[in-house]
Amino acid sequence: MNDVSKPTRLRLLVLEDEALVSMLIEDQVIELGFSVVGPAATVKQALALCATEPIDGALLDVNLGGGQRSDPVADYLDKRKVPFLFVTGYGQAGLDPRFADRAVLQKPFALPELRRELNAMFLDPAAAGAQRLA
Amino acid sequence: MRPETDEQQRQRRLDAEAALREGDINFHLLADSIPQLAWMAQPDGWIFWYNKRWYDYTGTTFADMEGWGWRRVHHPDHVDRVVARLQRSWETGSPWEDTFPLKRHDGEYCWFLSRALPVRDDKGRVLRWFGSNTDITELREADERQKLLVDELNHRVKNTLASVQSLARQSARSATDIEDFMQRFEPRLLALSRMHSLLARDKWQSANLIAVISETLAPFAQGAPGRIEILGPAVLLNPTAAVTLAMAMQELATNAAKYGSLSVPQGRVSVTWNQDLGGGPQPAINLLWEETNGPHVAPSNRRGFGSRLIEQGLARELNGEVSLELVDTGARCRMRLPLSSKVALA
Repeated sequence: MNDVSKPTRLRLLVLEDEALVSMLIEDQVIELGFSVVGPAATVKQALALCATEPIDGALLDVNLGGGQRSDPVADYLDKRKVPFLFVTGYGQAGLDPRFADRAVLQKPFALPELRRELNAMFLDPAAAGAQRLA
Repeated sequence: MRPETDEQQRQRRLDAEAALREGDINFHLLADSIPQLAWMAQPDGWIFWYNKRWYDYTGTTFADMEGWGWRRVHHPDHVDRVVARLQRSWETGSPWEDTFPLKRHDGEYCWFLSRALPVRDDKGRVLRWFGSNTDITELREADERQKLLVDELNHRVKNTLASVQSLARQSARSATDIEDFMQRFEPRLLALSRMHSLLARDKWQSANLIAVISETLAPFAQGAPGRIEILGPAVLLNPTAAVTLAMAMQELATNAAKYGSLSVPQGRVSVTWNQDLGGGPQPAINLLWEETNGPHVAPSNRRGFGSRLIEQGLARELNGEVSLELVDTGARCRMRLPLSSKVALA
């Protein structure tokens, strides 16, 4: 059982194909007090982590290079009510229509913007029903 | 003035009829040779004539098209709007312009820019309407392509800015002061910039591995002619893989110039690769960075930006296996990069 005086850090899956950018996001997420699962660079890597790691939320790049998109991972998390946030250079317009109402963080972003989005993800009453993927 | 004789009157009538016929022939030659579809309508919009190109394009007959029959070659999603706007022009006499698809004889739709202008008598009454439809399918496709390109460019710029942000952050992390920061940051930024120049040459499709490495190591080879060997078969990298590999090479070379084989006159670096014929589950490229004749380097457990980028970032992005070790002549880095949509044999 968890010690309540030392709450377990929330664990965020990071999916980003470009190495430099994934290192940046990893650092930013850690700096805000979260643990990073991954980062993953491909859908396959991300789904493998989903299957083996506890995950409380996710940051998903949209276009993963070589024509691959993160939509299958978003679907997987959505089905299990795990909250996620898209991180992309395209902005809202690059999203698949079925995720058009999801939160998007436009690259590049600074820590306060990421903090705001993560607060919304975990403090928003709509996210109260969110579940840890274990 | 002397009255015309019967003979003169007859001749004048014949001339006028010939002129009319000739005018008619000229008109039809013109109407059928222009690239547009063309038509004429009565003041109330009843179409009584189409040029030949209209029939060729639509595969219809005058009986199909007369009056309001043209609606059958319009797309169901557009026809109501087109009719409503045309009707307004017929009623007000104002010029008409619209853009919509028209069905070709084989059932395909192409996009047309369509216009109609009223021809008026000297009292301003509309005598008839001249209309034309210009095929703008190619123009629309070019517009579409341009929009995609701009979106793609915007995406690339944003990702590049995030990469620069990453380089700044990583450089700041190990810098002792601002000058030290600039000495770490600038060469990385310039390496990124050189890679962009290389990728731009091939319109951001791909880059050759040998070009990626040569371009990145060029500043290090300037002070060390013949000391850097780059050798391997033609391999194509997608743009993000090219950037990541270039940044990895930049880190290895910087390290070699500071502490490794490029820090002494007799030291050498070789970067070689070949196709992995080991019969693994997936075909791959094996790449080796090796420094020789360098100064004795004490093994170190220090892990900075370079090793993190190579061992974690690059390995992850290219789904590869990477080992980076410090041997006594400098760094030795092995990469096994599976062939994929990001790494391909040319």
